[in-house]
Order: sequence, then C-alpha cells, then structure tokens
Amino acid sequence: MTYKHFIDSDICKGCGICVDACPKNVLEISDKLNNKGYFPAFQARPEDCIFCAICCTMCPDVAIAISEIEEKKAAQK
Amino acid sequence: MVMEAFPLAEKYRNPVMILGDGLIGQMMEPVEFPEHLKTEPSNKDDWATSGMDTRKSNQRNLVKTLYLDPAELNAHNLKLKAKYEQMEREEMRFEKYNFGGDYKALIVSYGTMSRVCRTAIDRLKEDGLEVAMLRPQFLFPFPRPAVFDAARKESCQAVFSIEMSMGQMLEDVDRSIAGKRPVYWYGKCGGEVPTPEEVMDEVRKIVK
Amino acid sequence: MGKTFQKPQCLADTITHYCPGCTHGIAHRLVAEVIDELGIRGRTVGIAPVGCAVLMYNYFTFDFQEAAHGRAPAMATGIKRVRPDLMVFTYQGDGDLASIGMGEIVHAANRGEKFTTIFINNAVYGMTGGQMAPTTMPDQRTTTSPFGRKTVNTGMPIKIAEMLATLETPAYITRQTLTRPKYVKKAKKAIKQAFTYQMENRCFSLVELISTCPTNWGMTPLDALTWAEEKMLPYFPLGVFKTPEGD
Repeated sequence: MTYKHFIDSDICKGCGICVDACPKNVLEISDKLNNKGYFPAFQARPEDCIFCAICCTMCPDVAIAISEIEEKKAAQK
Repeated sequence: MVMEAFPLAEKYRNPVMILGDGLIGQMMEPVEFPEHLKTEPSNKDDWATSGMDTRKSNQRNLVKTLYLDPAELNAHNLKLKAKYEQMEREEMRFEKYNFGGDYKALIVSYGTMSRVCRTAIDRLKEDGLEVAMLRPQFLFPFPRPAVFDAARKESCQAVFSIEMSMGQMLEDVDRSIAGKRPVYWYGKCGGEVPTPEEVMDEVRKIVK
Repeated sequence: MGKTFQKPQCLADTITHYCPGCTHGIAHRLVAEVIDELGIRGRTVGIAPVGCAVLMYNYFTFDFQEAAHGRAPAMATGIKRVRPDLMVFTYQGDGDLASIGMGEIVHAANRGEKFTTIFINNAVYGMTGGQMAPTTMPDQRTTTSPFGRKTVNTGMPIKIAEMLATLETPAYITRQTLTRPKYVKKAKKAIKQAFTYQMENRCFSLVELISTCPTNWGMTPLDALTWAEEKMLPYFPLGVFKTPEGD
C-alpha cells in the first residue's frame, strides 16, 4: 500500500520542529510565504519519507497528515 | 427568601447574592421547608454543558464570557442589560408598613434594622406621629419607583434611610427620590443596633 | 512500514492563535486523540483556564466552559459532582494553576475530586507578556525578572507534581514533557491513563507537561525544546509520582 504525506502549508507556522524531528531528513523550510506570512515546511526529499509519522507527532499545529492513497485492503491495520 | 434565590438564579442564569447581617448570622429561628422547590431552566439544552450525548445533539455548548471582538462584546452587554431590565420589571420586591394614614415621614430600612424601625413606628403612632416604612427585600433591583411614589405623598416631609451601616443604601434612596424630599441617614456600625428610642428621636428631630 | 495520521475528530479545523513552535498545540492534540480513542467526546466537558489557552475552546469540538483565573478546579468540582457521568478535565498553565489557583488545585486534589487536570508548565506567564511564574527557573530572565530570577527573594520554582503527591488522598500524579517524539508518546500514555482513572471513577489525576514558550523565552522553537530539556528537566524530573492504591 502507498501513503501520502501532506503538509497543509496554510496551517503550518514554519516553526521547524518537524524538520529537526524527521529521522530521514526529508523536510525543509520553504522560501515561499504562506497565507499567514510564515515560511512553511515542505517535503524536500519525499522519496526518502518512510511515513513514520514522527513529524506528525511533533507538529504543534496538526498541519501534517498521512493518508493511504491505494484502495483499502481487508486486513488493513 | 433564601429558597427563592435558587429558582431566580436558574431563571435568569445569574448569580443571586444573599445578604445578611451579624445578627441573622448568629440567630436561630424555626423555619418550614416547602415540599418541592425545584425548578429546571426550560431552555437549558441551548447552553448547558451537559455533554453532547445527554442532549443527543451534535452541537457542542460553550459557556464563556470572553468576547474579543468589540461588536460581539457590545452585543453581549446589550443582552445583559436587557436581562437586568427584565429583572427590574419582574423582580422588584419590597414590603410596606403603616402606609394607611397621612404619614409625615418615610423610613427606608432593611434587615434586622427594619424590625427595630417597626417598633419605633408603632410607638410614634401611639404618640400621634404617623410614619411609614418601606422595606426593600431585594437590593437589586432596588424598588426605586415605590420609594419615589411613597416619598411624594403630600403629607410626607422627610425620608430616612436607617441602616446598620454607614449609609450604604443612602445613595439608592437619594437617587430614587430625585430631590423631591430631603433624605436623612441614621445608623450604627460594628454590631451596635440602634434602639427604637434612637430612631424615634431622630425622626422627631426633623419632623414636628 | 508506515502508518496513517489524521487530525483527531475532537480538534476543530481552526488555525490556533499560538506562536510558532508552541507546545500547547501538541498538548491539545494529545488530549483530543485520547478523548477520541476512549470514545468519550459526547460526554466530555473541558474547562479552559486563563492564559494562552483561554481560547482553547475554539479548537475543540465538545462542550467547554471558561473559568476565572485559577478557578478551573472549583468549576470542575461543581460539574463533576452534579454530573458524575460526565468526563471533566481542566487544562491550566503554570501562571493559572501554580500561582493564583494554587489553593483550588491543592484542595481539589486533597478532596479527591474525580476529574483530570492537564498542567502545562512552561516556566513563564505566556499570554500576559512573559512575566515570572512560580515555576520560573533560577536565573531565568523574564520581563519581571530582567536580571534573572533571584531565588534569594523569590524562592525556588514550585514542584507541583511532587507537592500534590505528598497528599494522602489517592491520586494519579505524573510529570511528562513534550520536547521529543518519545516523550510525546509517553505523555499521551499518561494522559490516557489519567482519563482512564477518571472513567473508572477512581481518583483525581494530574498530568504535568513540561512545555516551551519560544516567544517569551526569546528563543527559536528548537532552542526552546533544547533549553527545556537541559534546564528544566533536571529540576523537574519526569515520572509518575503517585498512583491510586492497587496499581
């Protein structure tokens, strides 16, 4: 199954905690402003992401979500 | 009165303060409890934080007083004002004593002090001096129209605010009468209770 | 490998007013996740404190009340006693709980009121502009201790968890932190345990969370996390200080 890592760049306040927390060094702070005037985090190296959800655990603004994109299998955890 | 406080608090969703004095605090009197005095506010599902399951609703309830938007706060204050005005219309509570004749003076007094004044009024009556008393039972809403009407009676020469305080009610009485009659204060503090004689002397000093 | 992660149902879609990197957001999410997992959203009443979290009711989707400064435990006591079936929790900061609300929390804990308190300890008054709190660290600079907290005339930071744990009344008292993923997971477990004790109608429960306030500490969010770990954790050790009997 495949997962989709999604950062809502308009909720992100660019605190950088996820960038530091990511064990695979996937995330970086963008140089483009979002709606609120922050520089949000983005996936600079998405191919390295292992969907461990550690960034989600540390994000204070619940801006990161990981969802499945494949059709659901029966014995899905 | 204490038991009335609870339904009133429910009706208006407003705290009710019960005021007493030292004498009431240290005194015992037999009381009878009525059978049933429980009231449920009718629209409580609209505001009570009783849990969404209890209300079988998906709408959460929020009890708060913080309105950061000035327009919102203004609207909230107007709502509160309307509530206070409704109280003034519906909850003015007072007792009249010796209003029958052409009284020369009006006493406004509350609590323990009003009992003393009652004795004083009875004795003055024996001496041929008619004095009426208005006893506010609720200090808010203050019975301003009643005090005003009572003081404006042709025969009434003066109004006395007699209290066991340094005149906490004096301003209310003064404001109610709006300058139509002179207002005098007499009182004692610290647990001393003015005697009927003192009240009588005070009245006689002004009213001949 | 990998897992999904979604915003809990208990959290609203509102963007919080907290500063970037403020751990309030993590604490909010943990509480929301726990309430979701226990399936008690429909019978939970939260009590908002005074402090940054005063607006927390905007971020949750269940019943909420707002308390006067420090008086959340008194309000929670009232609600819980009238409706023992409701799940009541207070969420208080150190300015609220450890300072003006000290009397309330101590007596509520001593009476064994069966609600849950989430205590956010970030060593400073956040909302009002970074003044010194009872939990401010020695020599920590705040707007009211510009030369650092002098313990000579302001004493040492108060250890709320340890202090409440000295009470004889059964309770669940623990201190956790939100500075690292592993600690966040432990903190969630503690919050869940606290709510579970309440569900079982066992005891009062308090979870102290060592948090950060990057803005008022004058640090970047990452430096703040490091500072909390290096300066606060040695003085405020993590752990469970009290559990009800039989556990």
